Amino acid sequence: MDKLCLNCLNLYMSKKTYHSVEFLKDLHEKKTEMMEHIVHSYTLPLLKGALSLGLSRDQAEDLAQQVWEAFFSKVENFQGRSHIRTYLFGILYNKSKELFRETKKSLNNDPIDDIVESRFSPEGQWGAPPIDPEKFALTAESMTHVEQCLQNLSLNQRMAFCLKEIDHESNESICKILEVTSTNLGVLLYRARNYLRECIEKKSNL
Amino acid sequence: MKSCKEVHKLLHSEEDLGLMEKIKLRIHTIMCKHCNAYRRHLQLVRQGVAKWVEKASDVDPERVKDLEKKFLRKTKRRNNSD
Repeated sequence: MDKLCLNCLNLYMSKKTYHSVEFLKDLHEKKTEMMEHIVHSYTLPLLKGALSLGLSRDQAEDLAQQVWEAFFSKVENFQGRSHIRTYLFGILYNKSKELFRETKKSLNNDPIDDIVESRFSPEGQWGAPPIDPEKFALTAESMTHVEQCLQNLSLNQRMAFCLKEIDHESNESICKILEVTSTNLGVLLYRARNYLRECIEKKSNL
Repeated sequence: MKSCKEVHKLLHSEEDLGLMEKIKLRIHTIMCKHCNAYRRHLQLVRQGVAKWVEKASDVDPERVKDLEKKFLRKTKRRNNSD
C-alpha cells in the first residue's frame, strides 16, 4: 500500500489533481489497490446511471461490467484530461448506445419542436396554454406516468436530462460524456423537458 | 417586452442568466399566468423524474459489494490472460 500514491488518490477523488502523473502511473500499471479503489468508488454511480436509462437490474449490472472491462482493457487511453467519473460515464453512454441500437439521432429535426411551436400564436402568445400546475403536479408525482413518459425520450435526451437534473453534473462534463457542443446540449435538454411536460400534461387531461 | 414564446425558452436556462435578465424574466412570469404555469411545470417535471430515478436506482449495498468483487475478479482474470 505504501507504494501507491494514496495521497494523490484522495486529492484526485476530490477533483483536484486528477491528471497527476503518479496517479496515472499507478492506474496504468493496474495496481491492485488502485483498481479496487476505483471500482469501489464508481460501481454504484455506474449502476444508478444505467438504471436511470430504464434498464432492468440484469442489464444494468451487465452494462457496468462492460464499462469496467472496456476501461481497464484500454486504461492507458485515460490520460486525465477529464475527470475519471466523466470518462467512465462516456464509456457507459457508448455501451448503452450499442444496447439500445441507437444510431446518432439528427439534432436538426425532432417532432417535439413542432408540437411546442403549435402552442403559440403567430405573435408569440400562448394559443394552447399550460394546464393548472396543481392538476399537473398530481400526474407528475405518479411514478408509473413519469416512467411511461420517459420512454418518449431518445437515449441522448434521457441521459442529458438525468445527468443534469439527478446527478447535477456540470454542462461541461455532460458535453464530454455525450460528445456534443454546449448549444446541442441546450437543445437536448429543452426537448427532453418539453417531451416530458407534454406527456405529463396529456395524461393529466385523461 | 419579450413574447411568451421567447420567455418559455429562456425559462430553460434561467440559472445561467445575468441578474437583470433574471429580474425581467421574473417580472414577466409574475404578470403572465401562463408562463408562470409553464415555469412551475418545468420544476414539477424535474422533481417527478428525480423521484422516479431515485426509486429505480435503489440498489442493495450488499449486492453492490458482491458486484464489485465480481467485476474485479473478472477484470484481473482478463489481465492475467493478456
